[in-house]
Amino acid sequence: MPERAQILPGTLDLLILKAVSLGPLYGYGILLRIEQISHGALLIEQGALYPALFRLVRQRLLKAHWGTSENNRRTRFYELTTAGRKRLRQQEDGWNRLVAAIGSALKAQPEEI
Amino acid sequence: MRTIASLRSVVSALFRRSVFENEAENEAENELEEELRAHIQDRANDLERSGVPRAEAERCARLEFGGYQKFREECREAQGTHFFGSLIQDLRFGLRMLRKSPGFTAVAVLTLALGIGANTAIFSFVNAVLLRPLPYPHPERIVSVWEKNPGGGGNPISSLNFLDWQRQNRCFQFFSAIARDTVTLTGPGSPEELNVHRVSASYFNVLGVRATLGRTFAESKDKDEAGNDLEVVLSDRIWRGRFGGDPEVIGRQITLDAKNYTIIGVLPANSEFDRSWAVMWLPLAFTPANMTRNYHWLYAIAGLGPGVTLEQARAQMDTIGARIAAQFPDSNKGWGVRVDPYIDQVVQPELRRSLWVLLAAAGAVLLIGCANIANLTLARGTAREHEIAVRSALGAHRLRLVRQLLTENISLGFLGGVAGLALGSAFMRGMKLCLPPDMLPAQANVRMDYGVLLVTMVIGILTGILFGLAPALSGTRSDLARSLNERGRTTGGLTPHRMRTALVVAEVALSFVLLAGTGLLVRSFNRLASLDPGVDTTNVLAMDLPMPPTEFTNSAALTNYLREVTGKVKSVPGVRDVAITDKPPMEGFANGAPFLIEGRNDDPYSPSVAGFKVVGPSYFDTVGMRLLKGRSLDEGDVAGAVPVTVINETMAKTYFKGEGPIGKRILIRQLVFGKSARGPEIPWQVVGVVRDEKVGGKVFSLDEDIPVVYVTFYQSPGTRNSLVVRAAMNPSLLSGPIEQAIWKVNKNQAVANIETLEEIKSQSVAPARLRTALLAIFAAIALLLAAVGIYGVVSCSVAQRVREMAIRLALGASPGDLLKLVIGKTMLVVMAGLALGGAAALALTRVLASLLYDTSPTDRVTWVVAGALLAAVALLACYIPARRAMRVDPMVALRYE
Repeated sequence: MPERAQILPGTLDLLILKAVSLGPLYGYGILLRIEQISHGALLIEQGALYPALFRLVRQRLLKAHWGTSENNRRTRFYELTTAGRKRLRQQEDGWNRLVAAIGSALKAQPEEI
Repeated sequence: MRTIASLRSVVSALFRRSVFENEAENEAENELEEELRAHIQDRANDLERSGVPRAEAERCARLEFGGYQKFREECREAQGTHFFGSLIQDLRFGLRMLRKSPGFTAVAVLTLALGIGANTAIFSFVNAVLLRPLPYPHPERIVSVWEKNPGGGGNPISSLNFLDWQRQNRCFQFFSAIARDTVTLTGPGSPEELNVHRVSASYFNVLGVRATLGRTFAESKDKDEAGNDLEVVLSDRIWRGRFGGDPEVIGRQITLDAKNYTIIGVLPANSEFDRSWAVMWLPLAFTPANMTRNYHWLYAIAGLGPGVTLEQARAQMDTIGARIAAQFPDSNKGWGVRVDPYIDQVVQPELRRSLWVLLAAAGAVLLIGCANIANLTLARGTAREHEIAVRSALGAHRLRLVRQLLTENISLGFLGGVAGLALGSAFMRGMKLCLPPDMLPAQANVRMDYGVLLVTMVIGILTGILFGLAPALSGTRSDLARSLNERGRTTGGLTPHRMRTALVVAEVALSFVLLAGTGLLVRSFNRLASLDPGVDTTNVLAMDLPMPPTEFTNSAALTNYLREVTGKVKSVPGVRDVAITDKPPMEGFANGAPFLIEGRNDDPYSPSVAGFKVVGPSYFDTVGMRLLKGRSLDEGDVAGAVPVTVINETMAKTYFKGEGPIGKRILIRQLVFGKSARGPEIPWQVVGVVRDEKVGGKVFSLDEDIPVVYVTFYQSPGTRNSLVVRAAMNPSLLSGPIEQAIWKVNKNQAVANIETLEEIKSQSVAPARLRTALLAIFAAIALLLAAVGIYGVVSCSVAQRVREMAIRLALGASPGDLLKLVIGKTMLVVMAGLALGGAAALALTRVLASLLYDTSPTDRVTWVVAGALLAAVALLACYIPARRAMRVDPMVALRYE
């Protein structure tokens, strides 16, 4: 198993939005999807997922409905709303700009100053 | 009662709603549970698939998930919708906790009810008298208008001056004169004396009041002339009381002072007119007889014209006043016009101040009550530390715990508010029964209205927050591990202790301020009540003999009539002495008299003023006033003889310093019989000096020394007459026979206001007695609460320190040492409170100064007694629990550990 990184505060919402944007998912499925798309490099406290999901639903970025998982369990499924899709795009852009900025800052060599 | 019923329905609605909310909440709860469980099961399945045994997989899944309860709680909070639901939950939990400790709840609710009840009752008076004193459409536009006498004070107005003002001013939209009068209503039944106001036609326009039945006076030019004034407007009270509430009464004729008046209107029910001194309103007509400038007898109110400010009105009236003074220097030199807001006339400064002082006292009682409950809550907080520690270990947020404790306290405050409302409305009713008549302005309608109701409930809830917040914060800050381990075994947390000490200091300080203030008022009241009125009040009866001014056409007929009445009354068995007077003792003056002393070069335009009292020659003997010099008035001082006067001691001391007054002549304008006018100056020869009698009355207070000249009614007859009768026995038994004797002379003579001098004296100090009694009640409650507070703190700290005490005993301390330790520490706190209270009282009792008679606000005896009383009560309150510390058995206490 590769070394896992603790996620930055505030990025869990972004990850959830991204995971759900690929198709409606239930709670455990979201966890697996994040693990899969991050190639198992991100460590998420499992329980923390749910308060975040409830918050996103309350902000009308996600909507929830009851369904049956592939394990044949009745559970809640989450999917993006239009507002959620918009928010995801904004957050992706913001994140990329931040990463680029931090990345270039860290790549700086002494002679560039 | 209706308010309580509706409150009950609101409360039960709250709970019905909670049942509904509960179902929704339960469902949400189950769904959350199902979702989280599905997650853990999925995870366990995955782990099992990777080769972990089922039991181990499930354990791992749960561990990986993290704090299950914590996340559940966070989910609930993230949902947000449950705020109200959990509030209801908190409320129900709080009420359950309160039910579980009925002792605490009862003490707390009772304390709050006392504090809130006192505040509600006093606030209902403040609300009616100070906050909305004038129930008129535009109270701020109404002014009272007075003559300004050479001393600058407000003075009643003379007829001609009023008429000139009325004609010349452009600043008042409506301008009405008012004269107080009494009339005799005759007809079927015995004659009855009624108080009336004679008013200008625009009177009700000034106030903006309309009749509810019929009409009020129509404004027309000739209304103010005698003969066109035979109309009467009734108050609703007398309409229902005397005329059976008959709507057909409009247009009916009644006989007042032997003249037929037509009833034209009835005023609004339950308004100031029902509480007013007057029961009927008659038009004010100026007869040629009272067209004078030097007889001041009218009051006036006016409505400012549109856009006119008070300052503009003052300026304009000053100009008019100056013009009249220049035109008629004989009567008006030095006189001007005063225009004041009407409110200042209605609410006297003494009443205003008394009410604020009482409200502050009630507030202090409530604060002390709050401190007590905060103390109790803190004590319970220490006991509940473990419960709270367990709950926060299980994942409860601090905010949630604080909110829950606060909800508990606010519901306590709410209960206290409801109980306080019931108590306060009973208290208010009691106070209204005890109120002497005329103490409150007629306009003040004291009742529990929605404003008072709202303020009460807000006070209840705010107190809940006030006494709940500190304990809730300190209760939830506790160190988890320590609380769980120690289970509050030893000496308890320090922080709540410090806070409780501070609360006791505050309680003692507040109690001291109240006690000191009360002590001052009690001392002042005792001095006032034991004031020598200058007359012998035992077994003396006073009564008014009202008579219409038109009944006697000449003064000889009147004096003969009065002589006959006096003679008949004197022959009633049990009567020792009887005398005519124009005002009974302690009821003020019928007339004041500007005077000059013959042979002195005083400015004739600014004369001094003395009380002018018209009496029968036997007056001094009847009321028991001692003659100091010269002779008394006697039966020889009749009309036609040399006008003589007996003056009082103050008059002799003030104006005849160092010279014998006997034989000196005092110049006073004569009161003209049958006219509201003063005649020419006549010299009154001083024949004697009597000791002062206290004058009292509405304008003069009982403690003032006022110069008075006494003359006989033979030499200055008037229609305002009273009778004073000294009896050989309890005088109340004689009122019937005396009335019969008077009616033998004249069956139409009304006899009014029969009172003993004792009653009159007691009434004259009634406002002082009432506020002293109220403040004493508040101070007693405060003292009791402070004692309970100290007792609570000490007994709680003794209970918590049993182990420490045991160790001290085991190490050789004597029980007496322990007693000294506990009491010493407590008394140190009490002393700190006393010092703080002393400083506060020094600043605060100053506002009492104007309510005190012959007592300094820093009266040392009062302060020392208040401090000693408080210290003694505090000592008692801590001695009882401290004795318990003495009786600790070290073996038992230490083994328990």
